[in-house]
Amino acid sequence: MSLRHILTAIFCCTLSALTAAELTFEEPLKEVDAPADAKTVIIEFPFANKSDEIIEITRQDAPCSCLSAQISGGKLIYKPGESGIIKGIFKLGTFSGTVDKSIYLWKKGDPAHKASMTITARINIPEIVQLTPRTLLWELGKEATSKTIDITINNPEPIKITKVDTTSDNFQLDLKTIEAGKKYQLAITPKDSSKPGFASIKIHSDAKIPRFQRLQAFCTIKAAK
Amino acid sequence: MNPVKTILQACAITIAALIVTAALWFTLGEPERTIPCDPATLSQPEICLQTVINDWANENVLWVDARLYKEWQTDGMPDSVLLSTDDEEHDYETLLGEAAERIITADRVVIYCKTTGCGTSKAIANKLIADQMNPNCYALHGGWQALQAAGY
Repeated sequence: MSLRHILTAIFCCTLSALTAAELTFEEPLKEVDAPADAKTVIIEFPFANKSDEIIEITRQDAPCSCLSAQISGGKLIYKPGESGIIKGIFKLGTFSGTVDKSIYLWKKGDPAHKASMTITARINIPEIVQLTPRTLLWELGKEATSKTIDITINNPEPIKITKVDTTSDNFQLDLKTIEAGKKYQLAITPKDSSKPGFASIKIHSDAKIPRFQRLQAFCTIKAAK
Repeated sequence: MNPVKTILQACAITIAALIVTAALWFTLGEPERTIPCDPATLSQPEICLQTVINDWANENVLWVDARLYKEWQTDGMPDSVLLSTDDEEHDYETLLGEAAERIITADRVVIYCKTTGCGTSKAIANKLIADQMNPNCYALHGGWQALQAAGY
């Protein structure tokens, strides 16, 4: 084996790394609004092999137990010009808000520790009963003033707040209906702010979706930092 | 081409490489296995493990495990709380109620899920900030993998 052979081998390896082909995704980041009562969301990521090489998908990884991925018909090898779809199936759990979930794809030749292709689903899970703010703070030793939480229903059908209670009797609750089924105000007043304290405020509703039937707000009396 | 000569040359190159590797190992020490993290490249509210270890050593840092209950039970960070969004048997809101007081009173809250790509830690950090539970909530870059690689 001469030096010429070694240099040729190094050059070929470098060249192949520089010209590595990938699948082209129409939307590598796809944003989806999930219905409030959805338990799963399916998102499709169409792709095509726009290179002039055959691309073989060797591995896919979705680092979340809530997510699985299917590649169209199980086909893993794509010749130039061929296309396919990756379907991401997401279980939504009990979380509301916006969450990004990624799927990593390795093709033949990728190092084991690094996928060359990533697709991401940005899922917006609506809060049909919104608490603003969700956390109330009182400074230890200061005046125990009343503070309010606005409860807003973001739902086509009305949702009634049926009950409110607290885990600590140091906090007095006063629920006011602004517009039945649409808007409420909960006034909270500590009876004694001279000692540190914490309470969960449970807000019960007649929402059909279980995750919105019991919501929480939090109250804390603590020393200023 | 003499195949025996080629094999002998290949063996010689391999042995030379091993000698160099051993020399580097003994002079420079074990290779760095931690997950690289450059604070300049992070997006809000991500944080590097090195920042937590070096800069917040004297602060009340609450670790929040965003993985499944079984995983948290097996090897969750000591004194951490669980806030899983994907566990069918453990409701997020119930877990939040149990952890709320500690979240609100901590100096810093660092949330980790399995890896960087799981997205849950960022989502939880953003929600805790939006809910005004604690303005200092962060998602650990690299997740549980970063903690494992660093020896936790």
